[in-house]
Amino acid sequence: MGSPIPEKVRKRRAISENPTASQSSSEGDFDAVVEEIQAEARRRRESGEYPAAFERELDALFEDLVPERLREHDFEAVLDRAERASLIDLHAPVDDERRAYAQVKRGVQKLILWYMDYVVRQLATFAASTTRAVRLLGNRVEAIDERQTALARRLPEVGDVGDLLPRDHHTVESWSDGAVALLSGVSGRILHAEAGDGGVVKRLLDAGADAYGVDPEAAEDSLELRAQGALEHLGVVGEGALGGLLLSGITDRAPTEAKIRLAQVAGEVLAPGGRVVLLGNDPEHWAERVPAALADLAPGRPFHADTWRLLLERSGFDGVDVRTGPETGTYLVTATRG
Amino acid sequence: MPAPAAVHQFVSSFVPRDAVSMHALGVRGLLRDLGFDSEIFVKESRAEMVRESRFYRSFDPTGPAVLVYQAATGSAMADFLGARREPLVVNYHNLTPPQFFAAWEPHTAVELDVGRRQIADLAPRADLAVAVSAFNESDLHGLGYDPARTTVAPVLIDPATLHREVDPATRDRLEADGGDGPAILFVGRLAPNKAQHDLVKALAALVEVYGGSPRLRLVGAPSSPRYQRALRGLVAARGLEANVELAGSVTDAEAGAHYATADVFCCLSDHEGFCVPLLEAMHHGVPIVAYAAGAIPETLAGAGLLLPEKDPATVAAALHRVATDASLRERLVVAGRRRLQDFALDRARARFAEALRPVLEGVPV
Repeated sequence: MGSPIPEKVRKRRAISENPTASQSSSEGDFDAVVEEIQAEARRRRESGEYPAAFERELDALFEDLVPERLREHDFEAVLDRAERASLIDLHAPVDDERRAYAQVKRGVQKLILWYMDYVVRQLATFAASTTRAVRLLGNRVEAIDERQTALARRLPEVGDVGDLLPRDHHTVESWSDGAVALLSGVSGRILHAEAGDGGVVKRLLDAGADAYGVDPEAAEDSLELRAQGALEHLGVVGEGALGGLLLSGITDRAPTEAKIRLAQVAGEVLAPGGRVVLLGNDPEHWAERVPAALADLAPGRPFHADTWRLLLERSGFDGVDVRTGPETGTYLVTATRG
Repeated sequence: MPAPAAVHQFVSSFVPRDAVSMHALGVRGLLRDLGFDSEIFVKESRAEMVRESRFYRSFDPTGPAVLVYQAATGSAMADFLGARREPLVVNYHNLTPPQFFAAWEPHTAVELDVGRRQIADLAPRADLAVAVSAFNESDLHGLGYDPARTTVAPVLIDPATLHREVDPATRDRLEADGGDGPAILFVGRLAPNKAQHDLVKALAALVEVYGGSPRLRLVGAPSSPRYQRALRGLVAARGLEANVELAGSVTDAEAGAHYATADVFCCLSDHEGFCVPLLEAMHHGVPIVAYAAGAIPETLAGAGLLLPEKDPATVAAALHRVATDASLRERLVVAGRRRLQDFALDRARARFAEALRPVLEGVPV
């Protein structure tokens, strides 16, 4: 049933019948408006009106509501489904509203039952054997998983000695101005690993950047600061997913192999044009500062700044710049992903 | 190829107000006007459409005929047509890629997969494939159709059928519940590929950044109960129950009330083969904000704000801009009305007839 045109619609019609407005409208005009809208969204983000964590929270909220996603990755559930599917029903439905059709179907079924039975038995045996083999393989992978977890639990005992070293907050504090200045203008997400209490991340967020941090000793586990090891986290960051990367702490403490890998991973996770900023201690200065026994037992020692320069250049970085702080015995190395 | 005396269509599901069914009626009218014998054969139809159609298994042509398959879903009809010998035209309306449903309704994903395979299986058999958008034509090429035998022609929808009368009770209710922000409308099935969850996120951003109490009205029946539940969950988690209405399936007049009270039509779909509701919004003078995915840029053709990304901040900024910029709204409405003229029935009929010409050789079109 119809009704008089409401006020809102009447207004719209009056507007649409304005010939001047019609002449001024064009596709290009809307492209410019879209650009203004994008600029507005950027400006609001940069001013902090629109916290970077807000969109991530919305995404996370919805992800939690997707029903099958988790089950799709659950090995047991997938295997159960495969096992159920491996049961092949030999008796196809023969019912039909048309009696003659139903009789024909029954006749055909009876006629070929011996043949179907022979084929189906083989198919079912094959399917059951395959799922059984996959289950056995799954059990073996699980056993390897358990052994690896047990081994990993033992390995930190070596690392624990390194952990006796006091956490070096001084280096990050002394270079935080420089790091924020170098990173706040980059395009894309910025990761600080290890982020300590998240002080630099907060400064970057305040500057309008889309930043987050990871630290194995993070007091809280939030979207801005996650309780996770640097290498562990970098291992799951997508290729080219970051615009900026600030590395500290791990750059001194990690064993040599891990530090070499760290430079390689930095080259992988940064998008072309992305910037890495690496903070470290001069090894001689570090050795003087740290008690000899702890220095000897530490799994890793700091690199010279020039070592990082070499590693970063080998990992595809350009324009490596080293800044040293003679008073503090620390340095900042920055480079751009080529 | 001898000139056929008849061109018959095959539509799996023939229901009132459905875009594909309405298109099939339009095509039948065109074919009859061109002098062909033309009937619509269906697998299933609603009671009110029975007189307009025949059961496809009863198809028994008496002379040369061309068959036109309105492909929009998986159907046993595709296998039936694949086994026949008459010249075949596939009129492709698009099938949602199954991955959109895999996490939500695995059985639907399987059905969609089967449907796409059926359409792919018809590729070597089809003399011509007519897609309703260039996006769909490209999809056909991906399904194995020879680009030399595909073309594009828009849906035949009489603009008069886009008009919705206004149900006064619904209009009064919607106006009373107007809130103090824009009323945002989207019309389409509740489906993962239509990404209504992104509309809820954008609404959350609109509330967070611009304040007020905007309304989001989602009109359309759910095609995934799980997705609908998740959508409700997202709304509840953000405390937006008062702002969001999941209207479900509505009558024409109720839809008219929604269009009449909407300040902006917003489409953030990840996959659309054409999107008829965009034309409805243009017809009802509702300015459009849309995400540039699938056939949307093509259907819109500049008659709306086309966003290259749909993060909540950008969409919220676009919605706020349209709601507060009277001059922009005016230009969007004018552009929409002008774009609608491109789909005028006489033009669309001429384009469709031209598209069919290769299989109707010898017949003046």
